[in-house]
Amino acid sequence: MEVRNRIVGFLLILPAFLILALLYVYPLIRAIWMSFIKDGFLSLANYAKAFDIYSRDILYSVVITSVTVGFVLVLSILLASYLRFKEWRFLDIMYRLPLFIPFLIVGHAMRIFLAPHGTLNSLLTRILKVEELPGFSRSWIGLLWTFVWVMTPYAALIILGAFRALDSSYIEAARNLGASKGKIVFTVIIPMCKPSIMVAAILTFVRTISSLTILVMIGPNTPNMITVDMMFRINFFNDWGVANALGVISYLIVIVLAVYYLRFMAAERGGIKG
Amino acid sequence: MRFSIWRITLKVIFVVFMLLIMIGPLVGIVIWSFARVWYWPSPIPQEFTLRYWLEVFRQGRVLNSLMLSVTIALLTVVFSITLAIPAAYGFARYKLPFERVLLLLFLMPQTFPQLPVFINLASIFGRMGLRGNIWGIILAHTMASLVFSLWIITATFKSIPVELEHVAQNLGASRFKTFWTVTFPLAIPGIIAGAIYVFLWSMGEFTAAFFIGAPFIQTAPVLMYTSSMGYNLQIASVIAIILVIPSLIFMVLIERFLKAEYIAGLGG
Amino acid sequence: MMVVLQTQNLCKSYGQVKALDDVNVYIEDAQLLAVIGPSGSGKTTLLRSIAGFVELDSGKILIKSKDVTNLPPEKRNVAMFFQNYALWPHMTVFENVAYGLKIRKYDKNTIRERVEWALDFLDIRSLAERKPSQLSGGQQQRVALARAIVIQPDVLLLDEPLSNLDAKIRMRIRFELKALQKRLKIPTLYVTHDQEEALSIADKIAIMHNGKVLQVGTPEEVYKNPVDLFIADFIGVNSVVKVKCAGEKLVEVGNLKLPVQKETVYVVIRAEETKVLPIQQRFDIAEGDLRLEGTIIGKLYLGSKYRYEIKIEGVDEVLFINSEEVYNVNEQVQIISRKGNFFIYEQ
Ligand SMILES: Nc1ncnc2c1ncn2[C@@H]1O[C@H](COP(=O)(O)OP(=O)(O)O)[C@@H](O)[C@H]1O
Ligand SMILES: [Mg+2]
Repeated sequence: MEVRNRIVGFLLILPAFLILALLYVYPLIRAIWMSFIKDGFLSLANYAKAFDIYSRDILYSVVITSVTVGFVLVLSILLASYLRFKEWRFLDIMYRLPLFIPFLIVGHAMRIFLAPHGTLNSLLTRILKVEELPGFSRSWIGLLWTFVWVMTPYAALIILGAFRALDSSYIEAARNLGASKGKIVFTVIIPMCKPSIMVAAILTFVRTISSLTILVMIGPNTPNMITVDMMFRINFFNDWGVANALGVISYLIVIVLAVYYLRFMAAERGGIKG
Repeated sequence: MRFSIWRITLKVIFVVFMLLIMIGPLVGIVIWSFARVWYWPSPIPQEFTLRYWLEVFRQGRVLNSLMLSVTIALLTVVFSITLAIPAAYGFARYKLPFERVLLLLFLMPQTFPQLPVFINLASIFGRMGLRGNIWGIILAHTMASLVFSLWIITATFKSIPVELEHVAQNLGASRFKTFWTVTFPLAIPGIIAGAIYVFLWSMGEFTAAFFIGAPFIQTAPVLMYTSSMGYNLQIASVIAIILVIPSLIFMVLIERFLKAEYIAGLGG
Repeated sequence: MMVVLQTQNLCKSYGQVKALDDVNVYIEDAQLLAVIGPSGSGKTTLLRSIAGFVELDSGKILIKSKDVTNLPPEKRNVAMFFQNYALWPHMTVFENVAYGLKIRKYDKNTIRERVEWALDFLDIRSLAERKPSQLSGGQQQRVALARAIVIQPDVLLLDEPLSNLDAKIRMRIRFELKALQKRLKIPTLYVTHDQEEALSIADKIAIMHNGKVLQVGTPEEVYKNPVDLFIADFIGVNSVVKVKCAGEKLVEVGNLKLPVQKETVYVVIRAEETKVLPIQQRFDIAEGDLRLEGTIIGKLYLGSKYRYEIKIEGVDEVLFINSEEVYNVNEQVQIISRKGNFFIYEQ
């Protein structure tokens, strides 16, 4: 019976499994394999070339992504803390707006909004009574702005979910002992919701570093993030080897993070259980 | 204290600021979609026109690519949901061999960079004649959307008390009959939510459509991209609005059920 | 005598529900005031409004003669004990207890001294470095108490502190709690729905019903002189008999003839203080005692005694009375309740 159950269960997921195996796992393995192939031979040449040309871009990707994660975490924790203590429908709806807008459209909207003669500047020049303002649409500032704009709601949703799931008595106990709301956020809420905050941080990191659409719409021409480099390698040079090497590098960055996360979770669990 | 003038002023400033940064970008594209002539530093276009909106309804590039996107999205929904329902039931109700590995596998496409997979898929499809073909895009979309349709429907199945199934089986219904007459009808709202979700995601997806559809197939997002790059901002804005409106309506509709795991994949 | 805590005319409505309806209670010196009432009567709302977690519609709360009505919870020096203990899982026992002192910015040594004093006081010093998840329920409860008392609050608020424990431990902790409160000399407001618990540990009892405080008094007062039908019935184990007025402004209940103003008379009989005797047995009844005749229609074995279900001629309700004597079903009996062990209310 037990065995039969397992077989039935496996048969149920088999079609979905096959699709993933063929259309996800196979290309994934192929990406890794191809990254080691140069002119038909096994070599590290693609990596050498990737680091040679793109080491600055790799660094840039990591830095922009980390800064994005930093801003996103600060903003979403602020937002979640506020909404944990106070219902405010306006804010509740506003912060979630970007969740449902495809990245490409966000990129387009931000390009128009942040351009030197864009919507934002046309408003600001009027308010500040100046002639011209620089645009951010093809600079790292605009890129960062857009990433934060688009990633914060998702992180905030996860974090606010955790904050709201936290039993009120933990918070009330702290207030009752004299702690202000700010103090409670730092001494009670954040420590108790650390795992969810970590999840939000890691998901934000992965989504940012693997984003292409926002970059092609609004990213600076140089330096570039590795996703754009991958696209250029293929579209302009038909160089799949280096593109795949870059892909594998992005995997490695994410895996380092994932390992760190698993370690953290193990420590967290160990700490509570002793 | 509570009604102090300072607080109200601060609140008003904050509301204006939020509206500016959250709604501002969207207002920008709405204005652009009607702009005929717009020179700096005028705050609004000098001349308005409905020309670009009318183009959507005329036979032509815009309408074609929109229809193409709808077709791809509908077929993706059919495949994705059909594959997801049995798999979700398996995850929700059966003990599976290698459960942890499977779980990881079914989460990876959304938690791991997607781009390398899409470009290699494009290269594989290229040799099979599926590149530049809508079926290639549909397959890629089915694969990528499977992950979240699967999790939405799994959550739905899990929320249905297993006792309801036991009662039916106890009364003599087979497992299949039980599923068909008890579980499935109760899961329909969740399945519909999953379907709408997959549809919207597919409509807005750019990366796979761009690499796999190239060079012949132009879905709406791809056309939007080329228009925007070619500084045809009006066409790009019109397409953007058409793509965004259903999403915003959906957001309002499911606002109550909004859970983090549901929207893991949106945005693309 | 000094009034430490005083509430004046507290009112709070949730929609149609009046959770607090003109509530006035006070605590003098180191008294323990028990607030009792059935579920939904507003006890928790009263306690939480004193702690500052409920925004009142009207009324005033004074602590040591200072008006704290508009102070936020963190500015009131009252300590609340949470039903689920609400110990922070990421802090050790020591850190949990030290929290309120750290907030008050005491120096390290003072904090250490006072925390150790509190842990010693509750006999949990050895647990200081553990995390709450490593403690038993009873230990967690002590930690929660230590955390509440270590800040030397003006008032201690306890909301059904024993309801999470099983019946046997509850008895023991009840007395420990009372001893602890007396040793600390800390004014305490104790909420419970268990009237027996309240009678046994309170200096004073306030009885709530539908958001109103119906009576405040010592346990003896509320037991012996309940001011209305609800209280008489709520305190102790009772049977209530409802008798309709036959006319002529006179009601006959057993041997008693009562002049009345209203239609209906309720007789609340304390089941613990009532005798069941065979119908023939002679028994001298004094002036004002109650004697009823009835038929046993059911019986339950309770171990040391029986619970009898007794039907009285002309009365709809059946009486439930415990007795050590053995009777059979359908046997005729007489029920004797001494003056002061039954109460009569008109309505
Ligand atoms: N936050 C609230 N929102 C709505 N109704 C409430 C709230 N808190 C309490 N009530 C209502 O107020 C009444 C008193 O509740 P409570 O003080 O919790 O009673 P008790 O603690 O005596 O059981 C109840 O009818 C309850 O439903
Ligand atoms: Mg209560």
